[in-house]
Amino acid sequence: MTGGEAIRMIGAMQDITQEKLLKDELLQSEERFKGAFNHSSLGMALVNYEDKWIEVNDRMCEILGYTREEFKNLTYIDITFKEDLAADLAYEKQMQNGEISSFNLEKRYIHKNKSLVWVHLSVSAVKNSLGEIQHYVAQVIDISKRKRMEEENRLLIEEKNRNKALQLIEAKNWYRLLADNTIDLVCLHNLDASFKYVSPSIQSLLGYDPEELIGKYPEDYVHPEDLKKFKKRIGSIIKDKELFSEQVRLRNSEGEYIWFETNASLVYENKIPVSFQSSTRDITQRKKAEQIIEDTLLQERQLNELRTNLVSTISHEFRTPMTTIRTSAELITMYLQNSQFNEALQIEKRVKTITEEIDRIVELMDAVLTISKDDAGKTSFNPIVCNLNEICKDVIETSFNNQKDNRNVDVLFKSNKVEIFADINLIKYTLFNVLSNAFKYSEGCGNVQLNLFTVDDLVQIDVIDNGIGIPKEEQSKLFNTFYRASNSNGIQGTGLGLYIIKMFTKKNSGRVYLESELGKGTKVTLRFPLYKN
Amino acid sequence: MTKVLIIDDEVNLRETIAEMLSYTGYHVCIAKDGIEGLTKVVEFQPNIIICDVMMPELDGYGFVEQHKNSKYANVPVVLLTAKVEQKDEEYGLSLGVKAYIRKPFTFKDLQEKISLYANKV
Repeated sequence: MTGGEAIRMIGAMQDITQEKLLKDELLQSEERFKGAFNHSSLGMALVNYEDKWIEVNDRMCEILGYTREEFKNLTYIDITFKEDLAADLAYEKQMQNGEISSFNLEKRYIHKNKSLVWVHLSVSAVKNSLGEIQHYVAQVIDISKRKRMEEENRLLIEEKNRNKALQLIEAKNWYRLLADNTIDLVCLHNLDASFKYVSPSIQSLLGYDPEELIGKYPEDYVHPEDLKKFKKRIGSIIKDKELFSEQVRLRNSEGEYIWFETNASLVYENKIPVSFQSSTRDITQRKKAEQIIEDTLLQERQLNELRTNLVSTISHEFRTPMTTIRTSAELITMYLQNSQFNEALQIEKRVKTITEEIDRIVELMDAVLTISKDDAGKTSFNPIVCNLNEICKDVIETSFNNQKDNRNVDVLFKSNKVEIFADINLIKYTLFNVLSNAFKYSEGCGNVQLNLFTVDDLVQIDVIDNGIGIPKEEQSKLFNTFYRASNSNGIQGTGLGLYIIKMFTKKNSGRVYLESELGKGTKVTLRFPLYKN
Repeated sequence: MTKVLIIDDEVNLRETIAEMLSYTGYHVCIAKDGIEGLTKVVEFQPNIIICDVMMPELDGYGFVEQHKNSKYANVPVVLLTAKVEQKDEEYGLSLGVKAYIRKPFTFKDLQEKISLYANKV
């Protein structure tokens, strides 16, 4: 250039197509990024090395309430909730030291309206080619809703727990109140049985102060005679985890022993036994009552025994004079048969009466002895498996085959080899008496029928006569002692036969029934359970 | 003639039985208890012994025990007693006596047992 005049123009041309294209591309990519950045549903921001917000998107503004302009004057530290800042700074430091290149964090920001906003924050560092951090990219998700729900849940659970705790305390108080005020003695024991808690009722029950027993052992207070079983029980509650209930005598503060019943059970915590509890009651009154009952029973037993012995003695002692009288009467009859008395017939008749009456007294004595022995529990009872058909046959052959009036027992066994579990002597006695009654009350009315058959798992014996029968209204009383039907006049009997039949049948697990019609006859039914292998 | 020894402490009874048996053709001897009974067995050498059980000094069971071991053990014994229970009879029979008759008895009973068990003359 000379004198301000242009002399030449130098031009240079450069092909910048490539550059242009690159710029365009960059621009486009930048636009794309911006678009993505601005329209993202996540809050996004770029933060520089000085912690200042360089760029924020709309969502970010929305989440935290600040405008873009306002963001530019703030650092992230300014709007981070104080309590969450330390974690944030620590991560940043780690990034700056190159230890990490990104982090995730849940934290609270301070909203423009001063409220706290919970967010999930992801931060990654953007580095230049030298590896130096240029800025940070932050992504923010609003999790305040979730956090609120979590918080609400937490509060709810806390509230629940608080209520539970309250209830527990209340329950504890109730139990304590119960324990403290119960009349029974309530104790909690360590597993070595030593006292952990003793209810105040011990004061009135045994005269001790509850405190003085803590740490001591119950066995120190147990009567020496009860000590063995008590120790065994304590052992078994811990070893075998058994409940126990035991009656023991405990020593009071005056040194006297009082009867108690104590129940104990293990106390578990998380399924592991940690202690056991006992509840103990004064049973002096019960023991007294038991003693009275026992004494009374003993007295009754002694009285029964005395009566049995008395009856037995009378039976023995009367028997010999009866024998002498009876034998004498028989002898007189013999003499009469060989002499020529005018009144021989009359004398013979009188002597016969003496013999009959003696027999009656003896029969009565036998019946009374049988009953009194049974009352004292002395009836011998040895049940075995036996064949009832055979027993019936045996009784009939021995005692009823040669009746004076030529009558017989018509036997019908509908079942054979019927086995029962019974005492043979008692069964024989029963059958003898039933058959003997049947003959006695049916003189001149034909044979006596005996039917034996089984019904389900029972065997039934019916003994049927066609005799005088029993008035309906008296039938229920027949099994009572000394009861005789009003139409039995002139027929000898003790009034004890049916009573003994019932007694013996019951002993053999059987039952006896009676059906009768006045003037037509009587059916006595015996039922026994069949023997099963 | 069949010889019967009756041992019973009850005087009226033993005499009545003795009278009855004498009247019906037996040769009878009596003793008041087991001890006397043992001597009478030797003296009288009966064909059968009818013995009571409950007696002072030596009772019927005691008598049977000693008799069993004596020279005259072959003389059969029948017990005649007021002990009427089943177990008494079982015990009596277990001692080896021939029969057990309960008081009161009938003449028929007694006669049957004597003719059944008495040693033959």
